[in-house]
Amino acid sequence: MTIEQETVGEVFSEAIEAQAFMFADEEPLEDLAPPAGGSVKLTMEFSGPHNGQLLLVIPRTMCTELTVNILGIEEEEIDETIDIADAAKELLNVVCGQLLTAAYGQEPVFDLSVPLAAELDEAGWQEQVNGFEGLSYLIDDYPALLSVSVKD
Amino acid sequence: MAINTLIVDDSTTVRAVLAKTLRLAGVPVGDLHQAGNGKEALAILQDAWVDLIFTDINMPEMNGIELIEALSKDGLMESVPVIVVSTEGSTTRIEEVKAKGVRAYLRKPFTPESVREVVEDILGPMEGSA
Repeated sequence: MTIEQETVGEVFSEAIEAQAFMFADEEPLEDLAPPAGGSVKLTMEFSGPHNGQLLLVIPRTMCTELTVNILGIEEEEIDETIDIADAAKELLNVVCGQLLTAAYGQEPVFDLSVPLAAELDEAGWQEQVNGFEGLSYLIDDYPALLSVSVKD
Repeated sequence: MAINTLIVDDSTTVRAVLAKTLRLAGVPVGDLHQAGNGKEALAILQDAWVDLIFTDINMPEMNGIELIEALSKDGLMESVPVIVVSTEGSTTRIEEVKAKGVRAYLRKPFTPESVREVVEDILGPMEGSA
């Protein structure tokens, strides 16, 4: 049973606003410019009565802003001990949990994988864009891609 | 009364946010210990006494359910309150962990108010409560 894009969009917008004080505006995919400075591809899977995967691709610079906003620190305080992708992984984790409840109700139990992050260069971003089926955003001027696929 | 606390979550962000939220909520945290998974948590508990444990469910190496079961085996579930902090919202899951002795379940994202409420429910009113 697939998840409605509208539900995905609502859950994502609420989560990023509540956690990171950022606002997601849907933007046509063709209007998104590749992020300067590379991007980060975040994935996680869910399994249970339904199985699927979430994918979020955002600029590396947005990972920094998520870290600053969620931790409530200044950018200057980010040092090598802080994994800037961690805040983005946690955002995806929250989106996944909230989405599964919104889509399938409060009774089913799902197992969620640990979110993973991988760095992408400009070519990598373009690979994600090619044939992309999902939601495309400008989030406070950062381009972002979000997709949820249900395998069963 | 200082509350020695253990936060178990594989996300450094969540651990930092929860630590900050506990302070914002006015919880009198004493020694604060942090672990990235259940295995690390058990190692900490070998040497440190804590009054309260917050744990995520989905973690690598040893997840929250496995940690709770290990604490139960060691008899610690009866003496140290455990609060699950998770993105999962399934009522079935909540009932499952409570049946294992978990005292409360906090869904992410949490607020200072919700954190204070569960801590007070378990440990009693704190300074500054109405």
